[in-house]
Amino acid sequence: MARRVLIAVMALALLATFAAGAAPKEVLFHYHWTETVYDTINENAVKLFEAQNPNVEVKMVLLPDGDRANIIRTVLAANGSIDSFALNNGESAEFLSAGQAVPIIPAAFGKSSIDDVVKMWTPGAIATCGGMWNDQYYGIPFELSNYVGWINIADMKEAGLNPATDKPKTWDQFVTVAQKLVKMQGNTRVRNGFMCNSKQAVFNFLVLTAMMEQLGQDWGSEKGLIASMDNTDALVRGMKTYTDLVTASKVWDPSLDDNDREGFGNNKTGIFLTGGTWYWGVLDTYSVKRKDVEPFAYPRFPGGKDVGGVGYGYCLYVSKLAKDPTLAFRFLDAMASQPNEFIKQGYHQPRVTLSNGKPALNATLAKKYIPYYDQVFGGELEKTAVWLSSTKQNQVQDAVWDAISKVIYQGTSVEDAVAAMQSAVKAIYQ
Amino acid sequence: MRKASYSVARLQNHGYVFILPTLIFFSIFLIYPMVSAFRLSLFEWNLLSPQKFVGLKNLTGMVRDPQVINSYLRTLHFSAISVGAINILAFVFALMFSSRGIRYKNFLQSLIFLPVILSVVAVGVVWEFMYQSTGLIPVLLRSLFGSSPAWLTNTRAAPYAIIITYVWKSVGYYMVIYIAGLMDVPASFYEAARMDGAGFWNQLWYITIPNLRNTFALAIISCIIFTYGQFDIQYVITKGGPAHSTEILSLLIYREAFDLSRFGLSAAISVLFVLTLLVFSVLQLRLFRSGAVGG
Repeated sequence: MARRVLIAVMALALLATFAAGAAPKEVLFHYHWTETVYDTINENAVKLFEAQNPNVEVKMVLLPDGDRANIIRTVLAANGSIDSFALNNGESAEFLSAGQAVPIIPAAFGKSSIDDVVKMWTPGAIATCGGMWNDQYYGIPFELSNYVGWINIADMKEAGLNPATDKPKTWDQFVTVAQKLVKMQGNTRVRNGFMCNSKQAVFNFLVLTAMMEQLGQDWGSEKGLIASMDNTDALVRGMKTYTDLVTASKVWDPSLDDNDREGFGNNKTGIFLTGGTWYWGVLDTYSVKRKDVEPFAYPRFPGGKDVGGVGYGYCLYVSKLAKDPTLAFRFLDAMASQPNEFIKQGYHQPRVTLSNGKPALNATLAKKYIPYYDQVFGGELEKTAVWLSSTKQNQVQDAVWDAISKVIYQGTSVEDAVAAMQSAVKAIYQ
Repeated sequence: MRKASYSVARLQNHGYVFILPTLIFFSIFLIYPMVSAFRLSLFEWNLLSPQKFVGLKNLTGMVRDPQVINSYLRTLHFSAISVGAINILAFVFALMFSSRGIRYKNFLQSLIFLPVILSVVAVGVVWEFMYQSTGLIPVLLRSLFGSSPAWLTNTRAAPYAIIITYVWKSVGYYMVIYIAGLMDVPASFYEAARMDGAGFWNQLWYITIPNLRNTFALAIISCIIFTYGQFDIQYVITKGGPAHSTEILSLLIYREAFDLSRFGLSAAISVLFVLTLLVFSVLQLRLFRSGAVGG
């Protein structure tokens, strides 16, 4: 009996092998970042795509966001298995300029021209999310967000401020409010008025970018950035406004904590400036409650440009190593077709229509699921500062952070730090 | 006679066969990457664009690069103070635990050794919290002395914050080495010395230290090598900040490659890193070969 069962099992296994051999599936490797809520939605998109394309198997490689770009870079350098990947707009220039992605193929979306593809997303979304290089479209937007200010209104009330009227609108008011939010216990500071991440250059660079663009400088393009290095007055004003938060008004003491998002969530700071709509979900993992928090538009300089926090996003790209680029774009189209699922979690996909022509993002859901969407996020999204698109982006943000560090940690004068930044940035582009 | 020499030759050949697996393993995972890193130092490459041959530009450029010079000096500073502190403390603890009078010896030894087996990341995160202005160390110092340095944001204090953490984490390991060394010193030496009227310091100077020559050489040189290659504590606690004050060479190598995409320059700094380590490794080999130690 046992022998017969064994023979039957072996026969079945052989049959299965032949069946599999008869119809080999095309395997797509997609590299994406992992985030608990995201993962479920993405996995559902993959399942749906596989159901519609029975001959295709998708292997999604989920990576921690901080390591994602370097792992993708390594796989590409090793000519590994990679059909598509996700990059944010700070990363894409280096990859696109090196020819690592395939330009968008309109036919994959059932369209006859690139303009028809571009129209499926909100105007300018592809560029803001980093999917454009040298006037050519490569990536399709997956997420578009913008930094706004976040303030603890319970702390405001404790400090005698009215959350409805006293949220700062200018950088001067910002300092005044932040000073009132600082909390001491004896000689020990237990809460900052404001803080930014003091371990990672990028967040300081992005806040300063918004300030510089409000001051009329173009820090969104290489040309603009290089030109701005000749405008010492504006650079000094922006740098001074930012570093004074540590050195003059002392609303930010970096020794209290180094992570602003975590610090705000645990009430170690009354304000921070590097959170988008997604921060509502992140906040739920900390001790501060949603009811005690409100977002607000970035402060402005009186007489300066009406520019908000930096706009940023992620695009999905088809690798130059893709076995079937058209199929890979079809898969990415499926991945980026869930805006109404994402918006429920606070994530904004700027998609207007799906490939079949049906409307994509239901705007009413944004209002329903994202507190203060209309009052703050939506309006500010149209006024975002532009994140530098450059192959040398990381080097530039390091040079800027070095200048900030010189002032706040080493006591260098703002003028000297700006001079060092000017020569460093010029050297980077020489 | 002829037969015997033939057998020895055969045996020697067999010896090569026995070491072949290890040789292959080391060639693939150690020698090839090292040669490859040296080759890479002659190129500019971000892993995305084609490699561009630049000759010795990376190697010569880094000699004038203030960041490389800063990191090199930071590494020497960190290594010198850490190696000194670790070995002095480890030796003192070993002496303490070798004496008869001490109570709860096993418990205390385990307590000192415990940090060695803890995860570096966990250790780093906990010490980072302890150094923050509301953390245990500043609060304690303020209550005792009225003030405390800003451990992680002061460019002078931060390197010492890292050194304290590293010494705390490593001292137990070297204490065990010294205890093992002390156990090898014959008790009769001390008995004879005591009969001759030698006190603690004389015994230490004329018996313990000379007899621990080998142990000192092993502990100090391996400590230099491990400390020089240290990466993780700095990465977790300060990421090289504030203002590059804790950016040791290994951290700079990582940053140049994975933050700034300058893999060629990163490889060039790695060459400098390896060459410096090579000096200590050769020194260790020569010490043991010359008979100055180990004899």
